[in-house]
Amino acid sequence: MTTISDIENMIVRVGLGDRAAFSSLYDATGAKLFGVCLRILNNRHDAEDALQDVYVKIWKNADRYAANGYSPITWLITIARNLAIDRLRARKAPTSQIEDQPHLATSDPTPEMAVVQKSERARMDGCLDELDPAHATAVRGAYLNGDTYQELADHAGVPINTMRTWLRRSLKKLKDCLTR
Amino acid sequence: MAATKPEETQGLPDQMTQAGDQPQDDSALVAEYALHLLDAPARLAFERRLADDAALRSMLVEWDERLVAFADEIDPVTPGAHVKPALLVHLFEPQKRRFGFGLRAALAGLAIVALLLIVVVPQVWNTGGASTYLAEIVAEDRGLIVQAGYDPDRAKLTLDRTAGAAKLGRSLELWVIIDGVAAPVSLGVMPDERIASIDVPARLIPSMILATLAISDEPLGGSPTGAPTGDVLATGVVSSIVN
Repeated sequence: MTTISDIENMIVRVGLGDRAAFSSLYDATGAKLFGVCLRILNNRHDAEDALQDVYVKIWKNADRYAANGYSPITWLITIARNLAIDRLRARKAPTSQIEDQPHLATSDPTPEMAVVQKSERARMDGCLDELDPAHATAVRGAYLNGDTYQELADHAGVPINTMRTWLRRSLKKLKDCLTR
Repeated sequence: MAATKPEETQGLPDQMTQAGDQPQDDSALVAEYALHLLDAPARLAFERRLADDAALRSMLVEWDERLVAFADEIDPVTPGAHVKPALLVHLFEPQKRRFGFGLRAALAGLAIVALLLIVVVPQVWNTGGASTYLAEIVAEDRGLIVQAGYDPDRAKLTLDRTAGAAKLGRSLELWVIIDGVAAPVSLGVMPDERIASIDVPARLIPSMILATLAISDEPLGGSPTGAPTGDVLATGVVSSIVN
């Protein structure tokens, strides 16, 4: 299994211009980052375009990785999610349905990549449970779907300013809960 | 490390707060930025602050690290097989990008029986620890497979013909197709031995990396004309660095 430390090594080597490390990094992380892009964009073609942008950005910024304070998986996923959402926002005609295409689940050569420790996942879930369900849904919607304030407000049937207040308070509560 | 003014991050302590927002102004803002909830102008303004404000950057890292737990539930999905090669071409062969069919144009004069471009997953190639580039030169039907290792320091191309052979009374000739050079350049007739190495001429040494190797079917002794005369049977790209 490719470990987090392996991935970090690859990133550092990519920062030094190592193309083989870049290729290995793609092999080790591409499916997960594609999953992130696909979740946000709901469109395979767009997600593949986004994935290319993601890895170009990784290639260009890996030399700054060591100084930035991120853990390796977070760094990669954050790049992917942000680029996917940029593309989502730029898209004129939003796709609301997942395209009816069979997608290939990860096949054997692609290693499992745990994003966070199970304990961290459990803590997040626990802290989300402490929120009002509608608020927790909104936080998840923002992260996983790239929903805007307007979209979140529409989904919840509340005015946009109400949603802003919900989110800000919920995020503060989450932070307090997670740093308990 | 840029210092932040305390009042920017905490708000004035004795000011009446609005719904508890004021004292945690920046923390909420950072979280909203991390979630991508800020509109474009707010996003830009925040990014400008980020550039000079290490404390803000560090808050952002904290929020990204907290929020990434959501990504745990996103399933990996294998992207299409074309994505990676296109990515590598985009990054490492920008000249080839515009002319997606440049390679085909180079080979257009030939009768192409089987054309397959592969970028191989790095394999361990025992050359005593030298830096090696690899190419897998493969025919589409896999009837001819040559594993090649290129050592630029020694200017040697090591060949292992793992499948296929020259036709009776004919020779297999090895060519390198270099970006920007229209005509394939001969590296000579493939040795008879299954495993052999050939010297790469000095002038070709730098051009080999990310070049395409091709094998054609020629009269015994190789092409009489200096250009491929027979079918191109197999190709592969010299890529992948293995130490």
